Amino acid sequence: MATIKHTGGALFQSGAERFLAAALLLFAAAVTIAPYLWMLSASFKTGQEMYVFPPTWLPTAPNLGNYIEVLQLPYAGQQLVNSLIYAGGTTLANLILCSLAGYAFARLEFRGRNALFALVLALLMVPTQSQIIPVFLIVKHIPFAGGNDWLGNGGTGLLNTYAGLILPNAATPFGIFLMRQFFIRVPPEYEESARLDGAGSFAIFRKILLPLSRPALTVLAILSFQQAWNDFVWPLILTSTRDMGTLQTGLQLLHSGPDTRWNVVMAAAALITAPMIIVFLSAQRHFIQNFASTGLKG
Amino acid sequence: MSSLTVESVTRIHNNGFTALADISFHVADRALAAIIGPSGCGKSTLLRLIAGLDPATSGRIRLGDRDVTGVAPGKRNVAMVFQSYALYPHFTVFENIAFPLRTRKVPRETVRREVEKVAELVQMTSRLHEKPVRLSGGQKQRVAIARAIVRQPEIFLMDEPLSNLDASLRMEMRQELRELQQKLGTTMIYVTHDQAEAMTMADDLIVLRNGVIEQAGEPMHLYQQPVNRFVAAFIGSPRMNIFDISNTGGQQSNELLHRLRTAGGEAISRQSPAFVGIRPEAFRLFSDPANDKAITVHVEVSSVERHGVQTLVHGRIPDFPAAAQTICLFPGDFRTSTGDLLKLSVAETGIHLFDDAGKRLG
Ligand SMILES: Nc1ncnc2c1ncn2[C@@H]1O[C@H](COP(=O)(O)OP(=O)(O)O)[C@@H](O)[C@H]1O
Ligand SMILES: [Mg+2]
Repeated sequence: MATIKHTGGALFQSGAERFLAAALLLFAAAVTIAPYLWMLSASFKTGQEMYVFPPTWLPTAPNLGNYIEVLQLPYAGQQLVNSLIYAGGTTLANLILCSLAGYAFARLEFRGRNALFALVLALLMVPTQSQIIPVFLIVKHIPFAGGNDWLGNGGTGLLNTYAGLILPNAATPFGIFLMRQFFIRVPPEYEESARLDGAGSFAIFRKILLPLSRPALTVLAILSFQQAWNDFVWPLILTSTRDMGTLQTGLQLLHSGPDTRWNVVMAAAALITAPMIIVFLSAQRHFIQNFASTGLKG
Repeated sequence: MSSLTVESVTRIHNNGFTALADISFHVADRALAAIIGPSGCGKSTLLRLIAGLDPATSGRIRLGDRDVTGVAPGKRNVAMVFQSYALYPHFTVFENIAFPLRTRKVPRETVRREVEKVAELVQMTSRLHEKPVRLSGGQKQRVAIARAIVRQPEIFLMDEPLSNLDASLRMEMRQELRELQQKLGTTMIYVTHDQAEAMTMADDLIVLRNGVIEQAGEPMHLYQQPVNRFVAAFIGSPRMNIFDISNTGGQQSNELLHRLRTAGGEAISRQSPAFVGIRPEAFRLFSDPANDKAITVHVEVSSVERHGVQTLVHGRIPDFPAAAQTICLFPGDFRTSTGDLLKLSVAETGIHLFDDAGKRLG
């Protein structure tokens, strides 16, 4: 495997170039981070200060009132639990199913493999919006679920259930694609050597391949978790009761009226965004660490 | 600790390509057999069949008197060192070496003892707790070997194990590997495309070309009696000089061509030899005019390479059609320079004759 060398200072040689590069990067960073800073700032303001013109960047009298109010909202706790179950369940399901499917597509030789993989890829190109109604109907008509008969009629199926939330996203075409691409690049010698040493298929998968695929699994976990955590449309459509809603649907309810209190909305948004930011920051380290190691000739 | 018998093994890949055709050979217990041949001739394929990683399309493979043809790789009791070493990057050196024992549920304490024992054998005791990334090429090589020997297999398979090392380390490891193999007394099948490596290490050589065995036997036998032009040119360095003597290019046949054609005796000269092979080291400075068993060859020197231990003379033989080029090897420092006309001799036993299909005559 090739080793990537640091180019060091070679990329930007002169001081002026380096200054320009730093300035551009700073600008991009500022543009990206400004809305978040604004959200944070607003979440500490009082209701009156929200409407002051010109707007203030720093709250004149910062207070935690908005946060306390958000935390005391009815259903806030339940929605957090729902969001965690939805995002956690989706992530776990994707890790297991996508790595197994990706491994099969990468390594096992079976009839129709390429055709099947082409179908998975084709699914990548179908817009999510166009799938919502068919998927909703399928979920509603799962046989024997939610009072349905064996033909899937008569009841509510998996509507308003965790299974209904998670199952449609339990294995995503992108996740399968990601894992297949990863496994294809793992030299087959690892597995062959392990087979010669007497390890069975499952032991090879668990002891050799899964640890090797930590970088890919980390990426998959973050993307799955983030996708489900931020998902608004599917929970909105699937759930009709407040106690099954997720944080995103709760947030939407919070600012749907004409007299929206934006400072409270911003506090809720800050709380909802925080876990994602923490996940990204802590995962960054993993990415870099795991890219380095390879036991092949080097 | 077992012999290996391969009987009429054929391997046709899934795409219909015949990688090995009707391969048969036997390797004695405790012997080191080298499989050599140019890249793409089927060496790795053959090794994978012996390991059981790929199935043979037809034929049988026996370890000792056990037929392992359909047996899974993990149950054959063979160990393989891959060209890329295939050390697990997420395991330490210790865990890498311990892996074959752990998959066999060997008790913890025994694992530790055995791993330490082989680590000492390959001189890796001090690096047991490092990850493979931190090791040099030679050290990775040692770990890979340790992992292969730790479970005391009946037979070692090595696929070009030294090809990723630099030249001087390769020489050193060649020696070490041979000593280790003799100490452990384990049969070894060693794949290489380097004929010098094969010659110096092996008890038996198997020369493969395009999926077919060209010749098998003791290294010196192949060197002295190559069955065809391919083996003649493949074994030995510098390569054997091979001259086309079938066509005199309109010239009258001269004394030299006549002597070469009849060098093998009456019966062979009637089969009309088309090629003559002379090893670079078979040339001598002409000394004894009375010795009519030796054939006199004139060589016009075009360049001289001095290696100290030997001198390589590149030149042309004016008596051959188109004044064919030749390489002559002399021990030590041989005093000659460009433009000289050397009068050399070659013993009749140093002449190899081949027919127009390249097959050895005599
Ligand atoms: N899985 C495969 N499918 C088709 N052809 C293969 C496969 N593996 C190897 N080959 C072909 O078989 C021939 C022998 O390959 P290999 O045994 O790897 O050669 P070597 O190790 O002697 O260099 C090559 O021409 C190679 O392209
Ligand atoms: Mg090979």
